[in-house]
Amino acid sequence: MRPLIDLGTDGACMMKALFVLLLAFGLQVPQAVANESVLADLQGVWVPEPTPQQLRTVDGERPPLTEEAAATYERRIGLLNSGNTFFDRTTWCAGPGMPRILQMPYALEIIGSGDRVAFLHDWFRWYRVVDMAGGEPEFWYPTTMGFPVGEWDGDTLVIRTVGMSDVTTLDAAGLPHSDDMVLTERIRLLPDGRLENRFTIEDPQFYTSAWEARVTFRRGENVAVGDDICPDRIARGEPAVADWP
Amino acid sequence: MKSQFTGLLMTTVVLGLMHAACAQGQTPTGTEAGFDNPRQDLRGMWEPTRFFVLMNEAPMNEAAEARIAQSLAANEAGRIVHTAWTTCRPGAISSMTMAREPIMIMQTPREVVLLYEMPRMARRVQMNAQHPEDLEPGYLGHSVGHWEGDTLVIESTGFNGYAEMDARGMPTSDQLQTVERLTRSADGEMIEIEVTITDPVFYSEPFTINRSWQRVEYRHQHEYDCQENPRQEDFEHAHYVHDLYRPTCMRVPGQGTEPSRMICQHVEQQR
Repeated sequence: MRPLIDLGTDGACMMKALFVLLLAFGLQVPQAVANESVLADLQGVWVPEPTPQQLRTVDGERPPLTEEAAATYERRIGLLNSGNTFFDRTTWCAGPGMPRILQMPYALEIIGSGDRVAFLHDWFRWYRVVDMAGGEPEFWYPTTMGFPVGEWDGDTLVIRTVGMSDVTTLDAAGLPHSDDMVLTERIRLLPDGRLENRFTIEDPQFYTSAWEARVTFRRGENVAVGDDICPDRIARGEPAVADWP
Repeated sequence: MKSQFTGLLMTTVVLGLMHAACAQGQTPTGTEAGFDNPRQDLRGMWEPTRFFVLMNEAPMNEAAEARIAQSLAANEAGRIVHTAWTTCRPGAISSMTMAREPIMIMQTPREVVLLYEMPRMARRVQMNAQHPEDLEPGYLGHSVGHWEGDTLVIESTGFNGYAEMDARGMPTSDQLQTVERLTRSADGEMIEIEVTITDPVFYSEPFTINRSWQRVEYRHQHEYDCQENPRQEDFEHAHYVHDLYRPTCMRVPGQGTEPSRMICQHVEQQR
């Protein structure tokens, strides 16, 4: 039997049915019900769409670096062009951190369970677990992925993260940031079925104003997040980070 | 009254139709997974109650004892023993024998995902599934699970032999097989774990160890950013229990005012 309404595969079907039913009767959809349904759609494997080596804002501009930060960035771009990636710790398999890991040619998988949403990345087994209890993120100490806290804004998963160490860069060309950077991600499904992560960087030490960028993903068909071992790849003569296909 | 009745009837009919539609080949996701039996709900953060550095209960055969003797001799000669754990490789078996940091468990009806802080890894247990026939050996092996009452039984195989069970480098082979039995206590505060380890290459018979994890309410795990980053001189004072674990990237001091450099290279180039 063909479903009455195409409710998609995999999960949350009755939740969606309830959603549709409530809408049909002109009732307000409880946020918890909507979240279950939306989260069910966000779950699964996502393949990133290629990003430029130098991250741009949503308007295609260079991020609003302070003068000093711009000098650091220029110096690193020069090093990169000469083949020296010493500023980039992924060179030796260390953590790329957020949001750089979203700009690497490796899939990610979203899993929801209880009051957490996990992002499993296909580069060297990195993952992060978002505490969906909401509230203010806590700065424990500088790490690469930070300490993410999430909540729903309608159909958008909003994640705020603090505690991201300045040893990471925001892009492959060495875009700098401070330990005090605040990252706000807004993750949603686009009408065409792709996943969008539109993120805001607030970091007055390095940027003259807050700025936004975005990355997009398409659903991974027959793609699995595996057990990637970066040093083993280097031992085989492969690069630490692959080029975009 | 009539319209209320009609509304109720319509709701019942539509819900019934939707339920029928949804029943076609659909499975629930984790977020809506019901846990009728709370003891089958392992979601959340758990912390091992004790850190086991050594595995004294393993019935080692001569091959295993020879490996351990090599490690001990290197250690006595002042060299640091490096295993998969300390060289940024994951290892499902080390998570069973010597887990230390909090473990986050994500759970759906189809899968139990155990997220370990150190070594950083996501162990994925497919529920009510079979091991594939064309299994590619790996550090984590392949794990399938099922419930026996209140106990989650995880059977794992398909290991690659590059994982050690303790800090001395107690070896495993690609013949390793494990059966873990995880039982949440009646008060919900603990998970009691029994692990049966079989590896005829290094151990004379299967043996069983017991571990326990307690429920914790931490908001986050910590981060273990393992990176191959030894200084050149460290490299000379290390004993790697497998050649595979030798560093591929090394920090080389700069001359004069030059900054130090990181050199990554193919293993064969190091010899």
